[in-house]
Amino acid sequence: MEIIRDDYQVQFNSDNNTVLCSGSFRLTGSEYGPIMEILNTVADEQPEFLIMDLTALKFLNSSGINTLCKFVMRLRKNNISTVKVVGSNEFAWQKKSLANFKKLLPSLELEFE
Amino acid sequence: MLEEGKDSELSLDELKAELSLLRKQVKELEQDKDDLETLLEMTTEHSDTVEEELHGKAEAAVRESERRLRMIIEATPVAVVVTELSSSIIVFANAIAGPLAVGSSSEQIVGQKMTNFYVNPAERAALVTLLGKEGQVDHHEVEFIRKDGLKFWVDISMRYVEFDEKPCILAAWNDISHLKALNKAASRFVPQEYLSFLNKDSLTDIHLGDHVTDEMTVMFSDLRSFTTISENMTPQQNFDFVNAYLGRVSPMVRKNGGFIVKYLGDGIMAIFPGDADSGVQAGIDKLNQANIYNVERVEQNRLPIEVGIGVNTGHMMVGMVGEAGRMQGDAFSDDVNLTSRVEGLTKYYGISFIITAATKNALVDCSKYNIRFLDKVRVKGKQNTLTLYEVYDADLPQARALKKASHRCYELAMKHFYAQEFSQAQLILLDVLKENPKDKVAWRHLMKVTECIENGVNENWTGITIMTSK
Repeated sequence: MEIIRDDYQVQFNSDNNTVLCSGSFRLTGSEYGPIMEILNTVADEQPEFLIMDLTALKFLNSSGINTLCKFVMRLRKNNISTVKVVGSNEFAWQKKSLANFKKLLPSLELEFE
Repeated sequence: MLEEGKDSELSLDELKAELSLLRKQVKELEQDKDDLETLLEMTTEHSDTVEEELHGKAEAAVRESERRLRMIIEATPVAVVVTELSSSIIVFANAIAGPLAVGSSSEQIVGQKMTNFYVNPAERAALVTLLGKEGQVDHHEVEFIRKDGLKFWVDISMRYVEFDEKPCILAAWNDISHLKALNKAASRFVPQEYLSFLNKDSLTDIHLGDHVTDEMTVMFSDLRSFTTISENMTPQQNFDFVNAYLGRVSPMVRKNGGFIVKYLGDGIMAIFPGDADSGVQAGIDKLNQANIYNVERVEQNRLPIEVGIGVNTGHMMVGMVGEAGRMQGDAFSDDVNLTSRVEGLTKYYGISFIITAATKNALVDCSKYNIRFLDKVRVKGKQNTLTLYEVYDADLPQARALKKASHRCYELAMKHFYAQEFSQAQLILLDVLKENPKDKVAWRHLMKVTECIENGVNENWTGITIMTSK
């Protein structure tokens, strides 16, 4: 499952249960539909654990953070509590915004590299 | 869920279960409400974070762009100045503009009026008007003046710009004083008149073989006494003498609309593209200059100079000859060659100025000049007979007055001569010489007439003087 565009990419690797989001997400609300679909499918597969690799996520607009939040909420609803989000120190906004995921899923682990 | 009408029938257990279900639903609703609040909060916060970051980046980008622009403008080797449109006051000047304009730092010219730096402020007004009309001004040459009085030429271009939200003019210029000086120096080798004559704007457009073919008047002049005078001179004195002479007579060519094609030692070859009168007038002016020079020379106990001038009118090619690496102006045609011979004949007749019939006939107003018939000749190597005239306007006043007084008699004598009425011719010429014994031409004709009387003439006699030497 993946969406590969010139400026943004979403991929799910089932071997290591990793969702990779990279590039710049500047889409409008409805354009996130296909991405949301992939994420919902991942959440509904009830994996034991999940890793979100956001180290190459340069930019995310408001609709984008909204989409990721909904994904985290879906994970919580599906009782998937072992979730690790890996961000990058290179993009300053990630520190602030990704920390808020813990409000939605307190067991979520955050890591920056 | 509760069913209508069955309230009273619910047992306590059922009520407990119902309550538990309701509590669970409330909890879920509360969770959803919390989630929504968190979502809203997170989205807003994220928005703020990203907006802040983008704003910071945009500001940094503007600063960087300004820094780069300033760096480029400061480093550019062209003076750049921004002036307010309304007041012409300088609001910005790059590093190089200051030294160029005032001879000190750029800060010192900010706040001053740009018009102060124009030698002729009206020129700036004209450029601004042109800018208004055309929207741009490109490569105009104007003269600037620095605060310390030093003048210099610049090549200036102008554009409208907005500066600090005010309508302004951006002017950029290059100092072209050196180029101007170089052009001026070059024009001494190939004069502007020669360039225009060849229909060229600049010396760089001149190519080997460029030429103009037309009917023109050509003049050869020579310092007849040069060898005698220069014999006892050092090389430096020789140069000084030739340049003193050329410096006096050359401007007379330009003054009369001609140009000097080349110098031939002390000789001058000049072309007059206009009417033949300009060539004749230039010859007279040159001889008058030589007369003035002679007064000085005699006062300094030096030998007076003698100048010979020949002028002819005809078709000729004037252009550039030589090879690509070294060329000079030249003119050629039979008429040009002939003119050189005509000039040489001044020595033979002992006079200063000879013109050909072609020139005399081409004169717009020949009554303006003192011109008398000289001779019919055939020069060595040529078949055609050439009719020559003497211009004696530049003879010294006394000699001129005497020639003028005998003008009619002299020409009458020549008529008798060609009609083979030699005795009448002889009598009149003797009368002419009695009044003016220094008339060398009359002497020469008298000798010819006398020879005809003494030796007689055959039936093929034409009276033409055959020149056996060049």
